[in-house]
Amino acid sequence: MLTPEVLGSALPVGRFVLGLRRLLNEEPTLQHQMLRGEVARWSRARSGHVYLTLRDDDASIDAVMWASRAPPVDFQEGSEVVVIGSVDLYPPRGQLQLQVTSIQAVDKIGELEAERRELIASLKAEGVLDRPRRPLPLIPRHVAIVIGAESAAEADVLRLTEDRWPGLRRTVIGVLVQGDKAPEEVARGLRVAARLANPDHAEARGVPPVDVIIVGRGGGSTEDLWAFNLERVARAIVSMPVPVVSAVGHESDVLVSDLVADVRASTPSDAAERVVPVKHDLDRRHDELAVRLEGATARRLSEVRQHHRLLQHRLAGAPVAGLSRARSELAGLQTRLDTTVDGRLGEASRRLAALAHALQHATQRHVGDQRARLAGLEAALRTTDPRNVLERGYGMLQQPDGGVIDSVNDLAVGDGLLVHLVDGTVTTAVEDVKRT
Amino acid sequence: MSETPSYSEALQRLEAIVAELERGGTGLEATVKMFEEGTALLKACQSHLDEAEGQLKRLRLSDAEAELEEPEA
Repeated sequence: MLTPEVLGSALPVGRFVLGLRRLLNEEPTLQHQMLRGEVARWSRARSGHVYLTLRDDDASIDAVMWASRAPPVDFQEGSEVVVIGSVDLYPPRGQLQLQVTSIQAVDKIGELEAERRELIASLKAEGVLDRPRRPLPLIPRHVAIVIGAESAAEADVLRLTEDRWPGLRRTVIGVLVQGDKAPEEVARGLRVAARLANPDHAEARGVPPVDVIIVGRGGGSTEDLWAFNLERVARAIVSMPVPVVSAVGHESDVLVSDLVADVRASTPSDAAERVVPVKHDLDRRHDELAVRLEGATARRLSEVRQHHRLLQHRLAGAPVAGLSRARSELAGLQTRLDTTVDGRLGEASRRLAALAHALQHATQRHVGDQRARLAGLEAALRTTDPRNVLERGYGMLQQPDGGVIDSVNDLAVGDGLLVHLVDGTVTTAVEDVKRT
Repeated sequence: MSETPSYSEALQRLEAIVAELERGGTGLEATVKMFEEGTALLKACQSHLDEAEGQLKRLRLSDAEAELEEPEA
């Protein structure tokens, strides 16, 4: 006996079916699923909608393609197909069906795949696949980018390259990357890049020639990427005069363009990273080398000065005949050293001032220290110069045979004697010797 | 004028010079010569970097082809 309570708790069929439908629609694994099977029934209604059944050895499912999605040509019953569809429930009949948005004969894919294999085989036979690959330039002066016009991939490549090297010279050639026209457009885009890589052409235009080419597109279905599996594109890549980076789809997609290019990038973003170094890193390396170069040079020069100072001490005690020649040589050397050091350090500090802000301060201080040190050494050098001593009114004694006299023991009454003064030499004789 | 060294050649030579100066023992002549060469190399490296800077052009294929046909500036 159905009590009112029992009746009240029974679900109306409509609510049950609609709830079921919602569950199916919300289940992600049942939406936009790619299925493979055989066409068991195919009928096109007057409305243009196509009703079909797909099956394989284990099961079958009814499907519908709305007129807007239906292919222009009917499929034969029994043909192998791959479809993309979503599961839905048709409430008036409570019938589960697959809403198909795209259908592709397996034969077609098989045919394309066979062509692709054939192409790879003939490229291999010609030695194209084994030819030596060109290295990418360390610093790209002009990057050509042949990529889907206005695509997300283009935006990614432009953003990443700009981040890595602000103001980098780039020319983007936007092309169609899928559909019938894609192979031709990609090949033509590459030809434009090749023209831009021609040095004569570049010189005439006043721009550095293109020295690396990125060609590619973002991810898509196997079919979407197919242009990059075609001979036309592959041959165009091989004929480029500068290194080519193939950057198609996602990590897992390997296309003929990847096989023939100089470098295979897994994605367009990966290509940007491989082609463009981070400029900031290079700047930092230069700054560091500049500082090390200045520092090491300044240390070497102060060593040289110290060595001269020693030399000068020794010269003070050497025979006078050789002294003036040695002294003038030394003075010449000194002048050269001064002009070189001051000139170079001056230029260096001006150049360093133009280097990165972060290092500017430290660098100038560093060079300043070295200059101060050199100035100190210079002063020390001057005080030991024998000429200064003579200028203060002292004389230097020498035996006529050349020996320097630094003790009364070297002299006896009547000995001849040379006295060097600042402005000349006097010849005289010893009248008396007294020890102190 | 000798041919301008590539960036990597210039950088390698510069690093070798700096290392040699840092090792010490070079005389006045050699030091000055190496410093001058090092400074020139540093300048060359910097100019390689400067040369990479330029215009960003975004062209549709047909426009790019048309531009190639234009008389040169």
